[in-house]
Amino acid sequence: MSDFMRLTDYQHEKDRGLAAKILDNAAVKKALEIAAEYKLEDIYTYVYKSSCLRLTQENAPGIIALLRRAEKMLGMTQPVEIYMQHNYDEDIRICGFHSPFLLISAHYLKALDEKMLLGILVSRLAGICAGHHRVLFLLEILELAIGYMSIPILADLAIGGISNDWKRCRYYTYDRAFYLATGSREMTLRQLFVPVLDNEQIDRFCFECEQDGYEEQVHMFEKKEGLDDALEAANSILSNQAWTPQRYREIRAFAGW
Amino acid sequence: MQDYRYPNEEKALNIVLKNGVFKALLSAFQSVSASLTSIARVMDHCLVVTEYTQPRLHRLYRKAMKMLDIPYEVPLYLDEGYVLTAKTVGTDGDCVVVISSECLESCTDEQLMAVLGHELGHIAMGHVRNINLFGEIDMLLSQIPKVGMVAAVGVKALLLDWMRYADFTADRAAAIAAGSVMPMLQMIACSMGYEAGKMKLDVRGMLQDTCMLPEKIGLLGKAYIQQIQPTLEAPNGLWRIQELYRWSASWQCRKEWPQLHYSNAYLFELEGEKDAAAAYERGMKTLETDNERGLALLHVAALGNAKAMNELGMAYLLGYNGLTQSPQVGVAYLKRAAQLGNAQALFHLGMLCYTGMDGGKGQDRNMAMRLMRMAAGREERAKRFLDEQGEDRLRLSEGTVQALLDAYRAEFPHHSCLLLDAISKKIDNYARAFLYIPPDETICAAEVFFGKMIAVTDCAVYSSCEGEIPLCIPFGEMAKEQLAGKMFYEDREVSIGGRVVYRYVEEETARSMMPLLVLLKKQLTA
Repeated sequence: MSDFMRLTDYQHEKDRGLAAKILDNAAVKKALEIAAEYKLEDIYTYVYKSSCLRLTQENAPGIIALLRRAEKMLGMTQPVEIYMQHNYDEDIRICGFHSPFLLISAHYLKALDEKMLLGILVSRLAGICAGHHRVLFLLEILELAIGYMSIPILADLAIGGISNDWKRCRYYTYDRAFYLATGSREMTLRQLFVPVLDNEQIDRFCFECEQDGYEEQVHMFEKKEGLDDALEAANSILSNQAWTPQRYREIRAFAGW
Repeated sequence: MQDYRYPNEEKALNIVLKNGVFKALLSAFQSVSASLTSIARVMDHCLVVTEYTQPRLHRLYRKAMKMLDIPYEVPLYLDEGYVLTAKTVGTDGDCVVVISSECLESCTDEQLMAVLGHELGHIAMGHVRNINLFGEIDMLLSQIPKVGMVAAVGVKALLLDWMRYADFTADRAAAIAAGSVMPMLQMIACSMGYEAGKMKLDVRGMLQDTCMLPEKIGLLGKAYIQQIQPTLEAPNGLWRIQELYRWSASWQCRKEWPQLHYSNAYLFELEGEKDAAAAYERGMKTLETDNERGLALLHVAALGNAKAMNELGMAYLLGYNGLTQSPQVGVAYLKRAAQLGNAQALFHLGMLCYTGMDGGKGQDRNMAMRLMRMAAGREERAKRFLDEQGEDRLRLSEGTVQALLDAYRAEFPHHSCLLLDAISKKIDNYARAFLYIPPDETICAAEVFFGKMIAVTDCAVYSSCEGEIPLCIPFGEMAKEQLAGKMFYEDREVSIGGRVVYRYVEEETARSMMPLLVLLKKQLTA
C-alpha cells in the first residue's frame, strides 16, 4: 500500500477522458506548436510572476509548510511554487505549463483555516498531477491564437463544448482529492461554498448532519436536468463554471454518503 | 521642479509619439473621451473629498501636493471599491484623482500619501492622457478606418512599455510625497497580495527574484501580454519594487532627497522605532568622523526618531556633523521633533521663537513661553527660562472656572462638549498629547470637531492646527482680541484675533462650545 495518494484514487473518469480528448485534438496540438514557437509559456510565467507575490519560507512559513505537506501526501518530488494576488474575484488557480505553480487570492486565503487550506492545496496539486495545468494553458493559447492565426474557427467550435465540460468536471477530481486528504465530509462539502458564501451562511447548511440543508436544492436541480439533450448541449457550450449541485452529487456518490 | 523622472521614460514616450496609429488614436481620444464624459461619470457616482467630507484624506492630499510642488488644484474623489490603488481620470490639464474606499480603510497616513503621490506624479509628468488612452484603445481603434490588427497590437505594446516606465517615475513621486520609500514599497506589495500584519514583507527575497521576458517576442507574444496584464492588479509589481529600491539607494537620491535615501530600512537593515533608537545611541557613541555622524543622524531621523531629529535640527542650524549650515532645514527638523514631543526640541524652538530666529514673523514671546512650558517638566533649561522670564499668565481661579461652567450648563444643558468632571483621565491625557497642553494647566472643556480638537484650560484656549504645533491663545491675549464668528458654507467658523479655533454647524449653536467661549470672553473683559 502506498504512503501517498495515487492519481487513480482521485481522478474522475470524465476528467481523464475529456482531458485526453482535448490533448488529442488537432487545434490543441497546433496551439502547443504555437506556444513553443512564440515562447508563450515564458511570457505567461513572466507576467504572472512579476505581478504576484511569491510566498516563501520567509514571508509565509505556515503556508509553505502546508504546501510541502500536501506535496508529500501526493508523492510529488518536485516542489511547486505558490504565488498570491490581491483579487476579490479569484480563489485559487493552477498556472504554468512545464513548470506549474499555484496562484491564490489573498481574499480567498483569509476565508480558509489551516485544515481547509491543506485540503485545498492537496486538491489543486492533485490537479497538477493529473495534468490540468497543461490543458488549461493550451486552451488559453488556443483562444488567443484564434484571433491572430489561421486556425479554422470550426476547430474551435468542435472543442468548445468539450473544453467547457472538462473545465467543469475537473472540479470532481479536486473534490475527491480534498476528501481523501481531509477525510471530513463536513469540510469537503463546505469547501464547495467557501468562494461564494461566508462562514455564517455555510454553517446554516449543517453539513455535519446526515441530511444537510443543501439537499433540497440538489433535488430541484435534478428535476430540471436532463429534460432536453439539446438544452444540455447548449448549456455545455455556454458555461465553463463548475455547477455546485453536480459537484455535490458527485462527491456524495464517491464518498458513499 | 523636482526631477525624479525615470531615465528611459522619455525615450519610450518619443517612440510612442512617432507612431502613426498612436497619433490617430490621440486625435480620436481628444475628441471622444478626453475629459468631460469621463469626469462627469466620476462626479455621478463618487464622493468629492473636501475638508468637511473627508478631513483626514483631504489633509494628506494637500500635504502630498505640497511635497511634490504641485501648485494647481486637482479635485479628489472617493469611490467604493476593493482595489488598493487610485486612478486619474480625464486628460492632462483637466483631470481628477479617484481613490478607492479600500485604501482609506486599510492604509496608514503615509501609505495614503504614497498612493496619492503616485497619481500626482503621473499628473505632474503629463502621463494622464496616454494612460487613459490605453484604457480606451479598443473602442478608439474601431473608429479609425484601415487600422489592421498588427498595427493595433504594435501600438499597444509600445504604450505598455512606456507605461511601465511611467509607473517607475510615479513610484518615485509617491516616495517623495510620503517622505519615505517604505510606504510605496508596502503598497506595491499589498496590490501584489501582501497582507500587512499577517506576513513578513520579504523585500530582500523580492530583490533577488529574477524573471526575464524572452528577448524577441513576436506579435502573438505582445498580444498575449496585452491580454493578461490588465487583469492583474499590480502588473510589473516586482520590477517596480526593485526599481524603487535601486533609485532610493542611488547617489542622485542621496544627494537630492537624503531623507528618502535614509528612509530605506532595507538598505540599512533596520526596521522600526526600537532599532532606530538603538542605532542612534550606537552611532553617536561609536562613529568617529563628523560625516559619519551626520549620515547616521539623517538615517535615524528618517526612521522617525525624535531625538535624532532634534540633533539633526541643531546640526543644520549651526553647521556641524558634516552638514552644511541651513537654518530653514534645521528649524523644520526641530519642528518635527517638537511635534513628536521631544523636550529638547521644544526648548530649542522656544529659544528660536524668543529671539526671532525661527524663520517666522520675528520675536514671538508668547509662542516661546508656551513651548518652554511644554518642555518645562522634562527640560531643566526650559524651567530656568520660565523662572527668569516670570509667570505672566492670566489664570482663572477654580471658583471662577466652576461658575463659568455652571452658567454654561444651566443655559445650554444639551451641549455636546465635555466639561471638567466628565473629562476622564484617558481623555485628559489624549488632549494634552494632541494639543500640547502643559501639565500645570487644568482642562475645563474639550470637544472634537471635524476631525480636529479644541480645549479650554484655566489659562488658555488650545486648538489643533493642520501640520503645525497646535494653536494656543492665552487668556491674556483673548481678553484683548476679538471673538468673532462668520459663516463658512453651512458652518460657523469661530476665530479669536483672526485665528480660526473652532467650527460648528449653524443649527447646532446651542449644543456647541461657542456659547462657552462667549461667556469666557465676557468673564475676561469684565
